[in-house]
Amino acid sequence: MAATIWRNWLTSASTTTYGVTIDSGTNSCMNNWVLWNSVSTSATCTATSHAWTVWNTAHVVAEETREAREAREARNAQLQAENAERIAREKQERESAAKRALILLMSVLNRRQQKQYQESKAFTMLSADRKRRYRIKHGWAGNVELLDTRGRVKQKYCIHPRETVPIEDNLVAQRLMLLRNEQEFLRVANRVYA
Amino acid sequence: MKHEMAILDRTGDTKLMWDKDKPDEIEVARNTFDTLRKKGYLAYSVQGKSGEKGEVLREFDPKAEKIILAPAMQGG
Repeated sequence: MAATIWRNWLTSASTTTYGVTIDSGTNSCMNNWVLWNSVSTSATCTATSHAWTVWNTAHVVAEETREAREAREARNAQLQAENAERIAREKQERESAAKRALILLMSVLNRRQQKQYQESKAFTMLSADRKRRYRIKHGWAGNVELLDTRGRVKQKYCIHPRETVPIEDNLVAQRLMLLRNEQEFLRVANRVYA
Repeated sequence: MKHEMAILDRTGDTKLMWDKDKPDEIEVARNTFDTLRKKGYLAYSVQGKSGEKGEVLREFDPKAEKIILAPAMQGG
């Protein structure tokens, strides 16, 4: 009986000729499947296309062909290569920017400060009135220190450009602001607990 | 003799040169200076080899040998 019904199910016929009919109620193949698996023998089915095709359209994901898989893998490989190229390019740009910024920083330091920076990534400087000594360390924030006469840190300051620039550019901006407009520097900077 | 303006940016700095005897070059430098100043950039003239001499510039000075323009600063 089940084989007979199955043959009928796969045809385009809307009515069975084998003496068995399946009623979908709402003409839904989902309902048909439930009914199919029930013991009822008094239902009817009027699907107008191959039930199996309709069934699989709704419920089965098509298997990927070999060609499609190869195309997908090739696309992924290309995306990975483009990503790696972009990362390498950005790294090179960052390194190039850092070199330019270092050259500019050196151009606004005296020889002693240049030597200090090369040795310890920090330099000391006097305020314009030569009454206070600061140390500016390599860094973006909290890198400016007010020193006492013994070289101990009295206060730290946090101030940096609003735009993203290489670290050494930050040091240039901090140095020039301290030299030319210390009052404004101290007004803008946040004090950090030393 | 070429004068120089270094604008601090992501690339390190972008340089703009001008000849103080060439009005068209001065005009370009001045316009750039004014535009950046309006955006809040801080301008400093730099004299000598160590940056210790110089002043804050509020207006473009075509005679300044070297000008550094830094983005506005903020507390961190």
